[in-house]
Amino acid sequence: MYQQRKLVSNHPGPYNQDSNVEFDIQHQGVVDMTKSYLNIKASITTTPVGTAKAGFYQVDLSDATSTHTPLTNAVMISNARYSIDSNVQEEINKSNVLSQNLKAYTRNFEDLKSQNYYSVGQNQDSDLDAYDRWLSPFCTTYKNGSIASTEKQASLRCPLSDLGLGIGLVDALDTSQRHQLRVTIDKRYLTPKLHRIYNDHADADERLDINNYTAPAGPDINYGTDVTMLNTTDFDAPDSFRLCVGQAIEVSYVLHGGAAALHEAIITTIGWVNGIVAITLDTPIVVPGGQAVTATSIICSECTMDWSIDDLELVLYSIHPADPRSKSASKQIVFSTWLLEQSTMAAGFTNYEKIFQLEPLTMNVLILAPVGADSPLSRKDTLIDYRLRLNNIDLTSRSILYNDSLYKDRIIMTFNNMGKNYKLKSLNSTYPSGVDPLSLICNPIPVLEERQQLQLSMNGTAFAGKTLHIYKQVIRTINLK
Amino acid sequence: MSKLHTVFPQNKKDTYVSSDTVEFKLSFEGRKYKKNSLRVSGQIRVQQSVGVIVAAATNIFYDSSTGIHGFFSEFATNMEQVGIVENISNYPRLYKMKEVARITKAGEISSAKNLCELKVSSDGLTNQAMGGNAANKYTLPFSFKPDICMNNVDNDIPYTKSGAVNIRTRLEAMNKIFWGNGSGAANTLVFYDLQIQYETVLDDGKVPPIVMSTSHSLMQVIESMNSHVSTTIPAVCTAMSASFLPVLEDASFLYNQTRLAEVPGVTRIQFSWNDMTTGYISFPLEDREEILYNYLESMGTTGLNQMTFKKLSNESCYGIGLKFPSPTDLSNQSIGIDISSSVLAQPYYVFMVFRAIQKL
Repeated sequence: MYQQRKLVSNHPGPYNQDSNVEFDIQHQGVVDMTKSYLNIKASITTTPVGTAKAGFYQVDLSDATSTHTPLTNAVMISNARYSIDSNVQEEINKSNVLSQNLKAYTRNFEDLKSQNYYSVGQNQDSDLDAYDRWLSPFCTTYKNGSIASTEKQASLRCPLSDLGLGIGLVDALDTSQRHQLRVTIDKRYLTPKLHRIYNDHADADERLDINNYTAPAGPDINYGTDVTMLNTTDFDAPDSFRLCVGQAIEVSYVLHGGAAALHEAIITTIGWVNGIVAITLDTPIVVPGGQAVTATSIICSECTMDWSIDDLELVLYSIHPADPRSKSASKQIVFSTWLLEQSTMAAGFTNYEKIFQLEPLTMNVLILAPVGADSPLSRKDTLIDYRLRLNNIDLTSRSILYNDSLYKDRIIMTFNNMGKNYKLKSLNSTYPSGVDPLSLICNPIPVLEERQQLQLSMNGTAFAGKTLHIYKQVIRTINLK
Repeated sequence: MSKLHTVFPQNKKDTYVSSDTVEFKLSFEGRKYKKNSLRVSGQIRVQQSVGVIVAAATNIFYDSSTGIHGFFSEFATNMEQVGIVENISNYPRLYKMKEVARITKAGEISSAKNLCELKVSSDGLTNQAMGGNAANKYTLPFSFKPDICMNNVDNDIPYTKSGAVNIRTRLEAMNKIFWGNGSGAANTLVFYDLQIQYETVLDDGKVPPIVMSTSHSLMQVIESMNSHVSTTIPAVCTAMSASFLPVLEDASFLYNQTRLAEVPGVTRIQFSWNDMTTGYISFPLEDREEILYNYLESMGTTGLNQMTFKKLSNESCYGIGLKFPSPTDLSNQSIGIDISSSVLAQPYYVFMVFRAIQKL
């Protein structure tokens, strides 16, 4: 039994890169943090290019590398800190590097599809359903009738546990003390994209072909307004047709055998009659009586884009006082959190060795190596094999070859030790296909009260310059008053 | 050891056609009905017109997510010892709402149990399924588990508790099943060999508490940009969900009747009932993402769904809903929904579904 409450931040948006946003959580009763989430309100602004008209533009926000890499909304948060009475209980640095890599191994295609309606990064690893790449929570589309499609502000849901916060996995947290959540905005990994090609059918230039039209003898004909443009391609349903009502389009045509011309317009209506699509425009192509319009085709107009994070809200699921769970909130909370250590690696190394200190109560280690500044995902680069030694004792009897069975075995062991479900699809490391595959060096660590030393040895042909992110999952305890 | 029973309709005929009412009586004296074991089976033959089978190139479709469920419009369950337990109208729509909210399309077609429910990967392939094959005289055998209280029960039901169980169903009208420019009054649909199969076990004399999940559905119309619909339901409800269809598309061969249309330009949705003083949701739902999230919660989310933008852009997976903070008796208080939209060019049907719990 829950009560949903929406908290506003202490700092109103819009937010810039590296803006800190804080939320005060106090006297909200006992809160189920597993269901609570950040609501990131983002929008994309479009500006028509040249003579293009101000209409609807099909835009989305996806990975900055343009590799169709699925990301989650947590990619927009770089640091997350949770405090109680001004004492920092956990702080996840580079939380987006951690969260995106963990998600890459714990979501499969079905999960991606099911999170489609509230997510950025719609460019998914799916050749089967390419049209989904066109659509995003930033658009409300209508494909039949006369209601204009619009670009809209999207509410992007980001569960607290997606930020790596261990507190986000606590299902009954007493908030009678002053709790604070602080997050840092990170816009680097996303970029707005415009979808203007029409490539669902085999048109050579990826435009939608329109039937030829000949005006009857007599006065000029307003082609596109008084006479609709028809396309007879057999579309099973509007979902396979990509143009929307209100969309700004560029019509290419040839009038009476003359030179090819362009006409910028807005689609005012789309009609479906027995499988034939009829399109009406806001401004016509004037065709003198008896003349023919040929080679007509449509492509979406071009625009420039900018995007912003307009606001952040924290939606809390408070447990109703009548619910027995509200009485069962423990005063002592044991949870796991992540500590980050970074190590810079110059370009050109063929082997790399480094010793890291593991804090007491470390239970898992992940070593991630994002290549380049525009993707948080750890990639293989030129990695051939690696080996880990804990307190000078080898953790494996041989070096672990990349993508070998032992390599996957370590991943499975570590995810099991984290209590997370891994998905087999991502273990094959191609994510998405055609891109440098993922890499993950990881191992469970025996939990000890004292510090331990972990030695990493990696062999490759010539590593790119990058920063290694060593995430250490440690056990922590909070004692509430 | 369980025993499989087969029951034929009380008004047994050689063939059944659209809009026929068919009634089954389940009697299992001295035994217990094995929970969630009821199936309806039979065969259908669909023809483009009398004597003409549906060709692959003919645009006659049915909803690929509802499959054979879409051919049955109503289910009513009556127990001798209890009375009417459940009465579902607009069953295909209810089923579609649940299917879209709880399973992906890929999951739907990769499960063998869906094959015998005549579900296929897209609406555009349903015409090929309907063609059947010559060896079977162009009939399509089917078997499905209707989403009714007998299949949503947490324990086996002793006969002493229920008495004989009557299940009445109505076969759907053709203009609510078929759509596409090849469909029309000339199409024919015939049902053969309708029967119910269910399992029983020996009654061990134990009478455990039995809780059934039941559904109550009703339909209203919204006509203005600021609409309020309210109703009472004779049950203790756990969730409420609603889907929409433009009135002009109703009972037309041109449109899919189980389309979960999106009300255009919704800017605000607020639920209210007398017990809202605790403020389950202290804010109105204003974002499409929040509206859809709460809809999925109301349908019993599994984490998987068909809410892809491709489907949303086709206006075929939208809904609103709310999972109640606690079981709420709506028999003596009404629940209201305020829907504000910036655009409402035409009236819309609102199909409301209330999920309730019934203790036997």
